[in-house]
Amino acid sequence: MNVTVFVLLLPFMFGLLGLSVDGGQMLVTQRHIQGVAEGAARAGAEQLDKDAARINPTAPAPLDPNLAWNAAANYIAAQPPGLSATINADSAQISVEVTSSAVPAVFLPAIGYKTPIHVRATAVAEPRTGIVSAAP
Amino acid sequence: MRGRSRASALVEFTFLAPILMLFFLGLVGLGVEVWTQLGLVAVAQEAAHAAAVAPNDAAAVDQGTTRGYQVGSGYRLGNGSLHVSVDASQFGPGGRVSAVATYHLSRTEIPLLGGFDLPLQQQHVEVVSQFRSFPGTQPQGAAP
Repeated sequence: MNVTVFVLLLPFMFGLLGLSVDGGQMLVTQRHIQGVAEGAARAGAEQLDKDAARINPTAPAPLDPNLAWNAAANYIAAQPPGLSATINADSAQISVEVTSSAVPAVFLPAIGYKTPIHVRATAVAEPRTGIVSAAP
Repeated sequence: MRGRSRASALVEFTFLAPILMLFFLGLVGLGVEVWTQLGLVAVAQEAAHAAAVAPNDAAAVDQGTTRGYQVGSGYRLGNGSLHVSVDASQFGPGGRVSAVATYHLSRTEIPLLGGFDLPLQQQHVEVVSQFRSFPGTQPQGAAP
């Protein structure tokens, strides 16, 4: 009886093991590229349009979309290879979507899922100017 | 008849128990491995970020390394094998700093490893802001 139950449960146990191995790897990759996406967005949000800020110094300084795009792209290019990104920048904000290379899966191919798994992370940043003191 | 059935169940359980135990120990070990990897990601990212906001390259290595070990302590990477190295050779406005965190999982953390170590590593590169101030340095174009 015990053996019968064990044999019936075996596919579920392997599934659980597979989820742990491959899911864990995806989670680690996601955390890694989320940090990259946030750093890239932060680097891009530092690129203010100096000319616009000088023309209208009382208004919030807008982003220079080209410089912001370049800064974010340079940040991602500085990371270890294997990442690709989609960057959108305008005068108000920059958004960065980073996609990992294929996550090495062990169990999913064994059950027939052979599509490469890519993990994505998105971050958005906008410039803040005129900060004179930290919040209480 | 009932006694014989009980005895049979006991024999079956005796055979299956080690397999089940191995399975659950494996699951716990995988959890520890994933947790450690997540910790190393955080260590590398925090170390690189702390280094990137330092006033100079020597302080970048110090600040980055110190911060890395602090984060590692928070993640309980405490078997003594955590190593954080910060490369600040390209430190400067618009430059970059790199942090590498390595850790060896041992059998005290994953009993199934036996006498083996499982080396893990994560790396992160942080870009130094081009427009931040660098204390002690003369701004470009400033009068001496």
